[in-house]
Amino acid sequence: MLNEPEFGRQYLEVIIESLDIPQSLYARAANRHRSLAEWLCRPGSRLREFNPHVSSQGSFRLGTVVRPLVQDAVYDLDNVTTLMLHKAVITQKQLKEVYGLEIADYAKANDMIAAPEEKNRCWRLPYADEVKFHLDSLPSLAEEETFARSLHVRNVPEAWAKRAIAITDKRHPAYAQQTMLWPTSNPRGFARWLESRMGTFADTKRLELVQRRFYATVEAVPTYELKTPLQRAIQLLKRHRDVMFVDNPDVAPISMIITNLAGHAYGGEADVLAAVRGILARMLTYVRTERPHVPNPTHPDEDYADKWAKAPELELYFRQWHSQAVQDFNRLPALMDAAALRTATSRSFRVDLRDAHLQSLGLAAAAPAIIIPPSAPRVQISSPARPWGGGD
Amino acid sequence: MVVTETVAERFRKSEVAELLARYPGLRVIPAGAMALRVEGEFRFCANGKTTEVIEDSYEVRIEVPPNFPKRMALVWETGGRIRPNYHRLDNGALCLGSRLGVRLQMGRSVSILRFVERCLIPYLYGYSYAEKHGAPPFGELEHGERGSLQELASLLCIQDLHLALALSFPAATKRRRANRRLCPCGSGRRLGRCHNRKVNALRRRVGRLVLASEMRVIAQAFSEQSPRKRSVVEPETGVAKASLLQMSREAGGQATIPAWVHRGGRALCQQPVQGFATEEVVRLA
Repeated sequence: MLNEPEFGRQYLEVIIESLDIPQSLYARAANRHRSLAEWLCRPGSRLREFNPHVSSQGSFRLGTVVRPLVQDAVYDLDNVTTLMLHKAVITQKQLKEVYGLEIADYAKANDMIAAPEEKNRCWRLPYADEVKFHLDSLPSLAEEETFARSLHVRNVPEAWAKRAIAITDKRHPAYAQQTMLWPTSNPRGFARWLESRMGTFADTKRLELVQRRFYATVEAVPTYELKTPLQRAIQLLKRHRDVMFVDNPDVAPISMIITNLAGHAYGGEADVLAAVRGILARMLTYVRTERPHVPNPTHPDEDYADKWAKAPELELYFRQWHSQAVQDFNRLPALMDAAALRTATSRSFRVDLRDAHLQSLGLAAAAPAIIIPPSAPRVQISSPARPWGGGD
Repeated sequence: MVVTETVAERFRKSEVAELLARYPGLRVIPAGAMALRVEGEFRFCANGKTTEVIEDSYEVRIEVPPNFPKRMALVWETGGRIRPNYHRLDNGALCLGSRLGVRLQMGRSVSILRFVERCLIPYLYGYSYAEKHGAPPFGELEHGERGSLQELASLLCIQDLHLALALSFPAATKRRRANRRLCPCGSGRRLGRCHNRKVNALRRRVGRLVLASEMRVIAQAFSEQSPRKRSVVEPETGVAKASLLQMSREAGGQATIPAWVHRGGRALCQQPVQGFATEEVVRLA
């Protein structure tokens, strides 16, 4: 039988294996972004002269996508299109609308099932392949140098600060006005920051892939190929969240909060079990008590938990999830009882452990389950309330 | 300056993390706004001061309202083991104790762990014990408001339910004011010279306002049970006025009506005595 840390490591490997998405999906997502970029740069494009730059963002960019719980779920794909245009010459509304026209033409040209849908900040494009995607495309302008400098003054390294962008938001008071006060964000800076948090494992993996001639240069290796302990830990935490909030997905802690806090709390552990336990142990220390609760490390004013102010129950749900995750990641990888492990894994991760899995973990699946429940702590009852009958 | 408690602080005080660590069969289930639901297999090990150690497990669902412990958490046994007629509320939740009994166990704590260990475990331990020995080990209260009176009587360390009821009214009143009244025991002396220790101890232990609210609930319940209900409900305020005599009869009290109720043929509590928190619901028949 395996010793406990080894058992836990192998157990999590089994879980990760079943919640990973096929590599081809990442490649397909990258093609979507490329296709949109080509469309925006085509001759005749309304935006071509502004040198549009399309980059992937979100979990496909960070390599932390988790297989959805339901069979025919829709994958969220996010990208950001940045134009080289000054805020003084266009309003948020104008940018959103002109971008909407381009996106609508793109949808028509590609025979999409429905017209693009306008969201507060982005346009949503529905794809219908054998795998369902919807692409949230965020129009933006490159932020000025002075803004990047102001971030740099606040200890954001220049390489990340210069990736800040100005975005549009229908809820913004100056949405239709000519103003320099646009909402700002920094998704590309965040992705770079997270990569920097992956530690030496990322560099080692990049070198390895180049040496094995999968990629020509280390720069060409996409983040999803790295599969570092931090990315794995984030995937596990997201799956745990998905399962816990399967009936109430609207109040679940958002992926960016989990990713952000995991990035901060990751202590460079080499194996996934230690990484996820370490992250959970330290995660709450990075949640600030005042706003911004969970700031973007590359844009300190951007709060990923901005909804907590209006809906404090979301913070409560986040903390409830955290407590449950701590409990599950401490208990399950140490649960060396086939039947109990199978039930608990299905309940916490919606993963069915097959006999082969159990055998690889050194557990005899076919053996009769003799469950010896752990002893509960002894409670000494003194002066208790007496049972009553209520109001009859 | 009003310092509002942060969500983080309140959550820490609720000791959910400690609860899950100590009782790993329980799981948090996201529930309605700001509420908490915990369910699963609850395995515990407990013993009373003089009773045996019992280790047992029940399937439970615990629902904690946002304003806990002002409104108490409710527990359902979902495994179908506890028989339906064993101390339950109308909604099927386990009746862990009287309102005052459970409140006294919780104090001002918002800890779910404390609720589980002080209220739920004794109940489940009691049921497991009763399955084995035929009766629960720590006694039980009668159903309905008679049970509430029994709780008051035991807090006052007296047997007589009627006297317990009568002494609880001054305990729900400010001490100085209550002490000037005649003692409800019928001795003819003022309360400050008679049962004041018992009354003061009850007020200290439970809290005057909690007790006042408890007395209102008891009076309301007796008034609703009363056949004279219609005649004792104030039409403009809708406040039910229960007769103390009637409450006493329904409570099965055998003691004489305390003197503070009568004075010269009039009901003392009919007089507009300010400060008696429950006087508006008490009227002589």
